[in-house]
Amino acid sequence: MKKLNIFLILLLVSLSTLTSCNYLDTDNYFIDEIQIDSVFANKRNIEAYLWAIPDAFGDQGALYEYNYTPGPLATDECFTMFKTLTYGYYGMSYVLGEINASNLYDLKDYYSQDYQAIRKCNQLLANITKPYDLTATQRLVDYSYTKFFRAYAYYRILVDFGPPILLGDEVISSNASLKDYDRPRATYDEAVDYICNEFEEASKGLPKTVSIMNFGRPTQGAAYGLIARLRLYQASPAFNGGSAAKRYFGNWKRTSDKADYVNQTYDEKRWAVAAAACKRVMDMQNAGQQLYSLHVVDADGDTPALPTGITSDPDYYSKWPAGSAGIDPFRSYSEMFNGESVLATNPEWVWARRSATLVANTEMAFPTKYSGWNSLCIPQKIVDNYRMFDGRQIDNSSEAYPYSETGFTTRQTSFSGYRLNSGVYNMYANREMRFYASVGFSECFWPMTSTTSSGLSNRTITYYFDSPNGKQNTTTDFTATGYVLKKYIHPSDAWTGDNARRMDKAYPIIRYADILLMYAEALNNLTQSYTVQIGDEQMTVSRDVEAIRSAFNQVRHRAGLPGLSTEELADPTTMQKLIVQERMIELLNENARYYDVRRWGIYEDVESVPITGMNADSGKDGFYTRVIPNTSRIGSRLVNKKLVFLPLPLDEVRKLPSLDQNPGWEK
Amino acid sequence: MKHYIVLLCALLLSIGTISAQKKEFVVMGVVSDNQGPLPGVSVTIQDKPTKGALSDVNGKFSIRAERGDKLLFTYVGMKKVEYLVTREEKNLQIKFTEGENKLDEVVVTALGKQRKISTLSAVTSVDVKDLQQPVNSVANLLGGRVAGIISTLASGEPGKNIADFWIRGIGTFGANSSALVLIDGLEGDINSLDPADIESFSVLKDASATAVYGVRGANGVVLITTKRGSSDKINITGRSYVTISHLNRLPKYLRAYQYAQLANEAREMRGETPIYSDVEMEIIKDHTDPDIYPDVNWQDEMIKHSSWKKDIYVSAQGGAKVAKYFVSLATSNEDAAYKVDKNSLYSNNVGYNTYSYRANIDLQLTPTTKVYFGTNGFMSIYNQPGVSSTDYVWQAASQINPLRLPVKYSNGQYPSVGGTGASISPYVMINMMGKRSNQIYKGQATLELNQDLSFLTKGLTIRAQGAFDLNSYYNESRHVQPALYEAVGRSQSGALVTILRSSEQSASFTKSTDQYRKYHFESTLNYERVFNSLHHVSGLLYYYMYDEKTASSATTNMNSIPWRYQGVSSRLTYDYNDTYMVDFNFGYTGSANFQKGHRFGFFPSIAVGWVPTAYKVVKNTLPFLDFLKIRCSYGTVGNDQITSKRFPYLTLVDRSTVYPFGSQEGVEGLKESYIAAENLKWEKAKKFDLGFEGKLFKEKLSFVLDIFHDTRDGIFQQRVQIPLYAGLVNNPYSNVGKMVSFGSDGNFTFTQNFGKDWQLTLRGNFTYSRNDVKHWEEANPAYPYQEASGYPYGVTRGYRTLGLFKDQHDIDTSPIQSFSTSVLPGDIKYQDINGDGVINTDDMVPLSYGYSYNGSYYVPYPNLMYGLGFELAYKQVSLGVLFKGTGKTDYYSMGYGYVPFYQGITGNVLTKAYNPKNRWITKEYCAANGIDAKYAENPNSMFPRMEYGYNSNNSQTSDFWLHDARYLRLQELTLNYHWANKFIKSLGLTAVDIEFIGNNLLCWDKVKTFDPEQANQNGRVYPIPSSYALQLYIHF
Repeated sequence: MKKLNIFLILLLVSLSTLTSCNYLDTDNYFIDEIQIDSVFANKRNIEAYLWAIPDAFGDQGALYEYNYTPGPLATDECFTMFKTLTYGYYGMSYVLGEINASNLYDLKDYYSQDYQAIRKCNQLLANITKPYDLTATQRLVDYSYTKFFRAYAYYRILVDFGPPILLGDEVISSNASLKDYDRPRATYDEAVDYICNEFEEASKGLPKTVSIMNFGRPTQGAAYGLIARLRLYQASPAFNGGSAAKRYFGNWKRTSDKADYVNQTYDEKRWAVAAAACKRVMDMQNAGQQLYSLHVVDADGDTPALPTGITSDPDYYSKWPAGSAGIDPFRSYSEMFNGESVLATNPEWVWARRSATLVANTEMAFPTKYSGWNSLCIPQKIVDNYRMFDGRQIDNSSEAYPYSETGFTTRQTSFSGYRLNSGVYNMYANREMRFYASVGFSECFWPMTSTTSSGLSNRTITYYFDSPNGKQNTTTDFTATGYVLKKYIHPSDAWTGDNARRMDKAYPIIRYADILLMYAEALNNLTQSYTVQIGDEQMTVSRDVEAIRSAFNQVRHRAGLPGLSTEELADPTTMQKLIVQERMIELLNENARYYDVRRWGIYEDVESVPITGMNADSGKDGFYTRVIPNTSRIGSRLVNKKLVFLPLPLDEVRKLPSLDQNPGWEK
Repeated sequence: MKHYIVLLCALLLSIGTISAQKKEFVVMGVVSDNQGPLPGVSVTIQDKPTKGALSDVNGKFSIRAERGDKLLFTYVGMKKVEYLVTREEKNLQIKFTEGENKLDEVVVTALGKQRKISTLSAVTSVDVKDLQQPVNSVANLLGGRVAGIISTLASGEPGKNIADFWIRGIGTFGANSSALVLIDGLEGDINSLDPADIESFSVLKDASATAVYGVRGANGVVLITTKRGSSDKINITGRSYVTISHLNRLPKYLRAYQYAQLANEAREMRGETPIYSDVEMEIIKDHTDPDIYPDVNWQDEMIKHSSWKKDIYVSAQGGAKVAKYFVSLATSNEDAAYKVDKNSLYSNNVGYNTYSYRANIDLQLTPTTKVYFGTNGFMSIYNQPGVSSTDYVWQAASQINPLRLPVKYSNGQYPSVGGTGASISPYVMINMMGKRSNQIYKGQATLELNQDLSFLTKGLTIRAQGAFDLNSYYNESRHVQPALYEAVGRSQSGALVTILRSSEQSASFTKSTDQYRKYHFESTLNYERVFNSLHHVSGLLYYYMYDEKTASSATTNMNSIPWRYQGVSSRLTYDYNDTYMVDFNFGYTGSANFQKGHRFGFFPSIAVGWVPTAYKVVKNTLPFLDFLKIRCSYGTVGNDQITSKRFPYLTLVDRSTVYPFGSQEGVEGLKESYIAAENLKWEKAKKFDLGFEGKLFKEKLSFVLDIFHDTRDGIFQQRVQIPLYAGLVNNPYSNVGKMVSFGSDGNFTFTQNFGKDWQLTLRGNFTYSRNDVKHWEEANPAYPYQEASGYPYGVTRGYRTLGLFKDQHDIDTSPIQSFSTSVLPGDIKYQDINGDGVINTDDMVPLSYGYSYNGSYYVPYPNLMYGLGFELAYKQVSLGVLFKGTGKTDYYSMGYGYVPFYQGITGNVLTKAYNPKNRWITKEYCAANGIDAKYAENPNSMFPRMEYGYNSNNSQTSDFWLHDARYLRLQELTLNYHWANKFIKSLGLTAVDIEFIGNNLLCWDKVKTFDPEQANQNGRVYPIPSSYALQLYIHF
């Protein structure tokens, strides 16, 4: 009996050892899994977390398809016949009225990804003191990048979706009740001020330059540049009192406190702030040199001579940078975009990045017979705004460089590595270099030299109805206007044939030419002198004609064109028109015009003009006629002031009673 | 926990100290009642729980006792008899008088038995005798028989004919709403249990009853104990039955000629040309071309209208003082009614075969120590034709019209419309597509140690039990498919032209397997004592832990971590003189699925009871009232099965290479791949129960009535209302949902004897359960009636209809119906709920009761279920009848199998559509085709204006197609003859029972065409058969 008892005791004891307080503890299973706490344990992990944040922003060069922003296809600077709904051409969808608050397609995801980036930044900021091996210097850099990313995420929401909900440093609870989430948006000014202050804060620890290896990472200049852009927007008519602000936002008040979301009282000083913000970027120095300058390529034997007899601009024949002499304007402009110029060392980039999407999207403009899709169509309006070779407008051309809409050229010319075929419609002859660099027209020469297959390179492409690349065989892959965007295409880029390759390209998020034009615009709007604080600096600015001339003319001179005349400079209204035109041309398809027409309050005026082009429904004989393309898409283009901002996702607005929808959208 | 081990050791060490020995002698005698000797009476000695005996078949017993011991004779249903031992006895006569007051009747409750009188929880005990039916699963017997159970049966096909059931209905929309089934204390499978093995069957319904199960008890508990050995007497029982099943409610489809007539009409109704020309109509009528214009009734080709089930079961029960045993072995075999061509190479009927065994062994190791070893095994082999689901056979029968395919073309080719699913002819599916076999193996073993600790304090016992479960399945399929053709016409020479619809598929073999294992350990400390014959006190402390793992779900490092649970719970009861009672229960249980610090949930409950009939004054003023108890319980229970997502509390981070801002060389990046929910906890049920139990008129009538109200809080849902600005990469799961369920259940029994030989028992029970979703997290819908919150769970939504359009003017003046471009008179007219002039999805409103989904089928889920029955006994013959019914349930009759020509050429037509009053026909057509004008444009017709093809206007879910699914069934009729005369005894047998059992004999309902329990399937599933069984019991 005793033995049995001992046995039983042993049995029960051994059974009882199964019981343990740590029975439910499964932590040791997770050793291989990284948990959120360990992210902030050391420098390696926290920096890995930091550099994964930009993933939320995607590729900023994705302007056309699955695009995070409405982009060029939502304006009068580009058009396409591609099917929209299932293929993600959201810009085109947007103006066709296919996007609304209840269906934003992927734009809703991009909206939420920006907030995901903000959450990650806040998570990181809350834990930035934790890594034991992060030195104070390194911490400042990481801190600054985090602040930059957060401000940039807000910036992206602000420009496309309107004022965001500002969260400060709060890491929003992952599991609170709905009413705890209810909070209002900031007003436009609150948002701009907050974002600019954050960029300012970030700029203190950001490097001035990054190594070639880290090309694409933002710098101090990127922070300054984005401040300049936001301050300019804030000063612009749509957001700064006056009729445009009233038209778009006059009745748009925050439910919680009846505040106007957009300032309804004009404040001229804002232009001064914008000017100072631009000037700060222009004044940035590195090792005693001016940090940013326009990208130029020196002239060579192939460079065409400057047009003679220009008297309106006394500096024109001076050597660059004072004038236009000594550089190759075509290459100076085009090689920035087509990938010829070394991406990482371009002094014009205030912030740019390598963009695989931009490279991939060149396929959209390539001729169909060479594996392209034939359709990033440039409207006639853009073509007409390019100047003549001597800087005159097309309706005021000179005898030396006449503009004609009859006949064809009879002689093939070559300049700056560009071949202008014989037999090109006279409309395209004698035009400025940026036209040839940016626009593909019928009878254009396409080198496509990377391919080694015979017959697939050095082709002349036409878009006549019955041409191989004409409309006859397709409903989507033809150029409805008779033009395609060539700006980002390198002469060697090819999409078909053996060894067909494309050059790497950079997408300029903000570049120096933009800063110069913004500066000119800001100064042009001043009527008196202001002393403003920008960062740690105090600056006094006024409508300084010389300053406007200097900034604006740099852009003109680089394009090989004469600068402003004294008469033009004297009249702010004329200057504004010239700035509008210059930005349209210089920044073509860089996602500037979408915002420009809105902030200037001219969106309805410019967009309600139907898109026109050459007649794609005709053979060569009737092709060169200005027509409204024969597609219902032109008429379907929606012009409605609600399109000034994308709608907020409907379910977001319905969830949060205090979250006001953008004006005009369903709620 | 360490303390617990120390305590256990101390207790066990002290076992050896018992040594006192007194002089014992034998007491022998006979126990009897007024009908004669009584076998199986339990003889125990008060306060000496280790000693005991049972009376044998002649009522004889023998027990060793000492002077001063008090012998207790107990027998279920009889009042306990006590006898004080003063001397040795050789022929003690103990006489039971029939129980006047069944004070000591017990019910099986959580972790033990309680005296029925003092039970304060809502527990339904099921008379095990009622469960001895020839069914595939005990689950099929519960609905209509057990108060508190709602059940549905989706398919009648062997292997699929297992009912789904819920205790008090569906109380949560979370991951799991099924009851916990415990067999001998361990989680078990009710479907693998032979009813004859069952010793007791209880359903625990309220918080007080289930609280000790903590996180597992929220959906109610089914508690089953199996039979155990008994000393002295050997009981051998053999059972065998044969069942013949008959499919008597099959949808009737039109034959070729009538089908063609209606097809032409349907075309003309929409201004289309008739599909069959007059010449063709003649051919169809005369059956002159059976290849191109066959006339097939697929039901005739696939069903033989009856099938068989055979079953054999043997058990033996017996033992001696040291060891007792119960062993059983069972096998059954059930065929389906598919008509299998014996000559076909691959023919294979559906066959569901099961094999099971059970062995329960009790050993008395020391006078105070008992060991129980139990093991059981189950295997099922489920053979089916090679078609991937036999439902396709039924779907094909509802889709392939009689004119479309012959059984076989005259050139020997087999027909098909397509190559997959329901487009193949049923004949090919059953006979020519190979075979499949699904095999399930289950095994369980348990060892329990019971130690009496009376030497520490009277009434204290401790128990420890360990168990493991191994389940696996093995499914294999041998698939083959002949070349399948469809006739397209005849050549000029008249030869049949067929085109290949699906090429021959040579034999292929596939298999899948899975394994599951679980180990379980539990221990209880029990205390039970009566002080001064007035104060009944009991206490229970329960500890359990288990760990389970399924091979197939172990797909990642995270998912392969076993599921683990651990818990402590307790019950304390106090009863003063069977008049006032109070119970406290709590469960403190934990799961590894939660964050440290949130792993354990505390689930307390309290119950109070009062027996007014214990007062003399009540007895005197209300003499007809024999017994009345009022009880009330309130408490919380948990549900841990809130998600299949493991460790939702963990935020997971992925390491990957990132390319910030297009950098050419990647850098290391860390990103959250899953955002955790903060503050995760249990799904909690707050349960309230008010119960009345009573006996009247000399206990002829007894009743139990319960009213319950449960609030389920913290139902686990993926958050959808977290705004985007929170910036989460995913919406976490969280305890946000809330739902209430409420209702009532109860039963009554009335027994009346007529003369000496006749006895009549009437029984009835009902369960009514409704639920309301209180909070369902969803994106804010545009209209309040689109919300899930505020409506019963699973409510189906559709359009309200305003009859059929009368004429074109009616259409023109009504809101636009956006589903179809052409709406004609006779089409369904919908109500514009939101008044925006357009009928679209915004106008859908909650219309009907919900459905439940069992993984394969949607079935109407009734809110009310009831049963009514009687037993009439005359001497050795007894007749039992059970009616089962449901209420508050409905179904939609839409789609294939109901709507004529649902997809044009595909879509059979029910015979009832042929009656012109049942379909909407234009006046012109009636006049032109000799149809009585009184049937024209019937506004109340069953089918709207016909269309030969899918009509998107009429096919919307709407109340036009909504019908009542309630039914009353003659569920069971049992005729039993108990044969126990001298002749039987002379054969060496104790008794023989011969039973005839009829099942699902009659059904009253409004569905008619299909079985009401599966009405929404439109006859596209194996119907619930009627069956007739002959069951034979032989008791040795």
